[in-house]
Amino acid sequence: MLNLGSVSATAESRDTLRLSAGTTARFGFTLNGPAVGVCDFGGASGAPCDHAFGAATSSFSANIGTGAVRFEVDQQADTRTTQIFGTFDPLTRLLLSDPVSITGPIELEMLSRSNANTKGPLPVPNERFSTQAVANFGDTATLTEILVFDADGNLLPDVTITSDSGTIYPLAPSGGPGGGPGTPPGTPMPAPPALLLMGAGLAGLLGSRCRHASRLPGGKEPGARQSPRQAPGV
Amino acid sequence: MVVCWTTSAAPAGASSLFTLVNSCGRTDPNAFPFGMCEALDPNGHPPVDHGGFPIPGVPVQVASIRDIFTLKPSDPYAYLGVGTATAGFGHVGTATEMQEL
Repeated sequence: MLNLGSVSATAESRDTLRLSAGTTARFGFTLNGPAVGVCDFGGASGAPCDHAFGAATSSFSANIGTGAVRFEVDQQADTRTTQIFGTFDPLTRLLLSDPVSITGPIELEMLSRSNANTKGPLPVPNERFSTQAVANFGDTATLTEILVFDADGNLLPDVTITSDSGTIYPLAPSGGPGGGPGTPPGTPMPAPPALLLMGAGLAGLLGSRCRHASRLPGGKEPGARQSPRQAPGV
Repeated sequence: MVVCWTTSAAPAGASSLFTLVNSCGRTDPNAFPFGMCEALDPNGHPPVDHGGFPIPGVPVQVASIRDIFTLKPSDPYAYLGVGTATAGFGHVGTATEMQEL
């Protein structure tokens, strides 16, 4: 019989991506974490922390069409192991998939799981133990770049990526993996009518301001240089 | 001026977000043969959070739990389970902590 406590968390996103060009694609995920530990985070409410009875696991994985990546860190007591599937750069924390064939829409599944467990022998009275286990991938794994190649292996800089969720996913900069910032992930795609409305509103505001300036006393011409103190409404 | 729009309806299952967090403490695994927390813990607390339902136009779903309980009054142990999960399109994250006191 064991004395057991457990907490687990799962986060998953699924989306379907369509690329306007390309033969293959590689997906790059920036990993901020994970941190796992047993008795590494201050112990159990200040009580002596028994390392032997803690276990923590944190993982990120992604299925990309027929491809996949995975990054998992496990800790059992004081033994920690890391498993990586894909190409991982520890400096940039970029986990890059192998090339995935583009034959149609690409199903993208991203999954994060963390588990923290405490377990040990059922103690006799007055022989209780305290322990703590932490698995933290809460700083997220983020899809930060998609590299699209033609049949000759050349990186294509201008590929339109659309998704069923409406999310704008970042195309890799022409410099290659980790070569620079892309579009922030998870950016909702504004619908064209919204952009038109916003543009019309801005144009209207500017026009109103120009007309107001042209009616200022003193005969100032529209566009004439004014100090901030003289500007209308200031 | 209020500007709003809705994304076009996606085919069922084409895009989705899912989060789940659970926490439980127990002294007898036989009471939980499937290793999962029950809908309510023995103290009547809900140790499972399936996350909120997705809000159209908000591409994030979260779940979190903070669960403090003992299995029964005579149980010498107390467990503290804390967990969070966040899923968005293009990013996912989870964090858990279990303390046994």
